Amino acid sequence: MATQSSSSESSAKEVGTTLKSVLGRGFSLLALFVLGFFKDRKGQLMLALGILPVVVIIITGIAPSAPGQAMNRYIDTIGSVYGAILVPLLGLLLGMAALSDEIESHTIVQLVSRPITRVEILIWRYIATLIAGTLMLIIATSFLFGWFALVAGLGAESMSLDLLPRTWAYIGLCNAVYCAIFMLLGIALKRPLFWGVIVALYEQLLGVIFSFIGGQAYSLSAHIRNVGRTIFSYTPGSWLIDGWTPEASGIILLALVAGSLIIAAFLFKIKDLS
Amino acid sequence: MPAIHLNEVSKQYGEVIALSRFNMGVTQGTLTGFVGPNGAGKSTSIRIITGLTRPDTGKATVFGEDPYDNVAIKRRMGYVSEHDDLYSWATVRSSVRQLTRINLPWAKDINSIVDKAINDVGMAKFADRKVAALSKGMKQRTKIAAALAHDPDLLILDEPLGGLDPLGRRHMMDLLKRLNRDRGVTVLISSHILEELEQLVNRITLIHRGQAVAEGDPDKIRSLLYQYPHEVVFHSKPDNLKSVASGLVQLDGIVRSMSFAEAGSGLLECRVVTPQLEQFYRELVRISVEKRAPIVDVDTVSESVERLFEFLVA
Repeated sequence: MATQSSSSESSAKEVGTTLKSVLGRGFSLLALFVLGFFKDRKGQLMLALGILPVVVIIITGIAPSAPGQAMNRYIDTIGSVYGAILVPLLGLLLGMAALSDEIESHTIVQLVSRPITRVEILIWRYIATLIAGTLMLIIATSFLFGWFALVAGLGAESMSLDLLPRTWAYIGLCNAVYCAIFMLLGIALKRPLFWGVIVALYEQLLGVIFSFIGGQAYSLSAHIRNVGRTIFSYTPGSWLIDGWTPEASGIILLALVAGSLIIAAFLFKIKDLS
Repeated sequence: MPAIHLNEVSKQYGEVIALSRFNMGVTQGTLTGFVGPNGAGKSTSIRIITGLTRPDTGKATVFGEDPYDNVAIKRRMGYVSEHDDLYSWATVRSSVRQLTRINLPWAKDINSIVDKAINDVGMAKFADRKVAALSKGMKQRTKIAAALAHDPDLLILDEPLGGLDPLGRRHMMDLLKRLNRDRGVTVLISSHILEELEQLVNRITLIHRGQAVAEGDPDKIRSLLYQYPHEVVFHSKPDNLKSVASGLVQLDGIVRSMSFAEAGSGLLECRVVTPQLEQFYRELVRISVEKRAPIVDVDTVSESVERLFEFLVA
């Protein structure tokens, strides 16, 4: 009995040590990736790209005419400009480049030759891309919120503050889906940018076409919007997929993210990095 | 147990055979040179050893285990690749610290560990300079600092001396010797210049066209070098040259072939291929003095390492 207890204690200790080691090197890698993203000029350019729609909205004077319209107009802008155009575009640039940039610049050699598995590198790189992309879009969409709040005023009737965390959650969801898919394309394909552009630019178009022929269920952005209904507590007709609950769309998106990451991890594990 | 063991390892990229049933062993505690011309298969071997790729056939082990995606083995390894593989946005200090953090995530004295490694490679003065602003030699030294900061048992360096000035090269050689002698670090260092490593290493493996052609201590390799036929060119006035040449051909086993050509300015050129360079030079001077036939100039045609390998393979 005593032997059994000491053996389970030692195996628990071993698991604890392994976990500590995995998390330690993972967080080190995460810090390296996130720091790299913000120090890199590409990251700064993407932030500027994220803020650009706000500048256009301000210059063109697009603003809600009545306080009651502000919230709906804001959510629609987040859904159409950010969720459907900018996040896929940034997801394409970030997700696709996540590992292929490391491979092209040979910095992957520094990582793979250190005590960390390839699967860990891929997962931490995904998390870093997700964090960096979401942070960048949080900054950009905060400007949009600020502009609408300035015009329509803050308050439950117009721009409620609880819209901010809802926006962050929605942007995070979009990023999680697109980064996983584009990361997989970046590892799996020889011409990832070509296929990535097709997915990023035409996915929304296909979503629109499908909405006319009743096939929105085949559109990724439609599923994201369907989940977005719950996030924003917002139910316009254009955000619905007939016969699909937000939960069902959530499961589809989760399966897509998990599937993409599992296939990407397998491909990266066997990838020849010479 | 050897630190590194490659057994009948083969690797092919499309039509190109990078390694063909290649065998190599590196004993723990040694400083081994890995020499071969460009494209011989050095980098492929090193990539297999460091787990960047897998062999098509054969077996590679490091400290008795397969190095591919093996965390335990990589914990004991430091690798300096031939590429510029540092993050260009980082400074020297942050580069070394961020990378060492992966090896030593919970080290409390990480800053002193990093500073010591930077100091060891002579980069203390440039610790806050951005990698993008470093010369090739400085980047090389930074990479070495990043490879040795975590105190590895095995240090693998792929062409690390390229880009270093003579002083930097000397500094690096001293550092590697010190690491090997004082800390018992096993070092594998590749180069395409044999002479570069002769003074540094205690074992050399010669590789050519994906196969090991010779292995042994530097003395053995040097003796192979002396057997390699060298080409010597000298110029003199026609009568003097004929007189010296006739003396040389009478020597047994010194001259393998001899040819003449006009050299302009009233001089003749004589090209001699000799398997015994040192003895040839002694005899050339003796004959020239004895026959009172002055030689205007004499030179050994610099033999490329490729030609040496061709000779060894033949």
